[in-house]
Amino acid sequence: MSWSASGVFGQTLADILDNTTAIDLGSDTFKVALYTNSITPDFDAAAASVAYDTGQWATAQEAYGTNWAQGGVALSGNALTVGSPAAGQLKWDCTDVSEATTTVSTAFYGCLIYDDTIATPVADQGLLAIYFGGTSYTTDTGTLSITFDSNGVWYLDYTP
Amino acid sequence: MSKEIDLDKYRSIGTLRSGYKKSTKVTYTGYGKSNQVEHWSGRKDANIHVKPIVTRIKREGAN
Repeated sequence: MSWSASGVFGQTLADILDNTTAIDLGSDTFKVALYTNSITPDFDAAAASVAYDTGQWATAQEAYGTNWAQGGVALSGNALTVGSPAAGQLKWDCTDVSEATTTVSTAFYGCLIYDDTIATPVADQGLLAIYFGGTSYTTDTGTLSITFDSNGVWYLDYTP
Repeated sequence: MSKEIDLDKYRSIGTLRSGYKKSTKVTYTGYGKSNQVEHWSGRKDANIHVKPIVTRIKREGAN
C-alpha cells in the first residue's frame, strides 16, 4: 500500500471540537515530518494511531537526514483566519518551509503535520497529512522546501 | 604525489574534453600515468508545492 491522498485526521478534528484535546491551531508548535511510500494514511484512525511515531507514522518509515532531523522541522506562522481565502471559509496556514543544505537520501512521498506542544491525552497527535502527488523526492546537500498554497495548508468551507 | 586540477580554468581555454561536468574532479597522478577522474552528482534540491486540503460542509436539499 502507499500514499494516495491528503487529508485531515477526523478523530483529531473531533477531539478539538469536543475538547478532548487542548490543541490550539494558532499557538501550538506544529512539526512536519517526511515519510516514505510504504505507508497508507488512515484518516479515520483513532487518535493514538495518528500521532508521530505511532501506527502508520512509525519512525521506521520516516525519511530524515542531515539538517532535517528525525521528528521533522518545526513550522512557524501557524494561524487561523476567518473569512479566508474567501467569505464563508476558515483558513489554517503556516509559513513555507525551507531548510538549506539537507541530505535526505530516503525517498519521501508525503508528510505528517503534528502537534508538538500537547502531551496528553495523546502526545504528538497528527492534524493532517499531505501527499506530494506521487513524486519521489530526495535531497543531496540541497534545499528542501515545502511551499504551501496561497489558500493555506487547509481550509474549511462552512457556507455551502 | 597527486594534484587537483581546476577544470574551470582549462574549460575556458578549450582544452577540456566535452562531457566533463563542473562536478568532475581530475587528479594528476604522475607523468605517464592515467589521471584519476571522479564524477559526482552534486547538489540536489527538493522544491515541493502543495495544494490546500479543502474540507467542505455540504448542505443536503434545497432548504
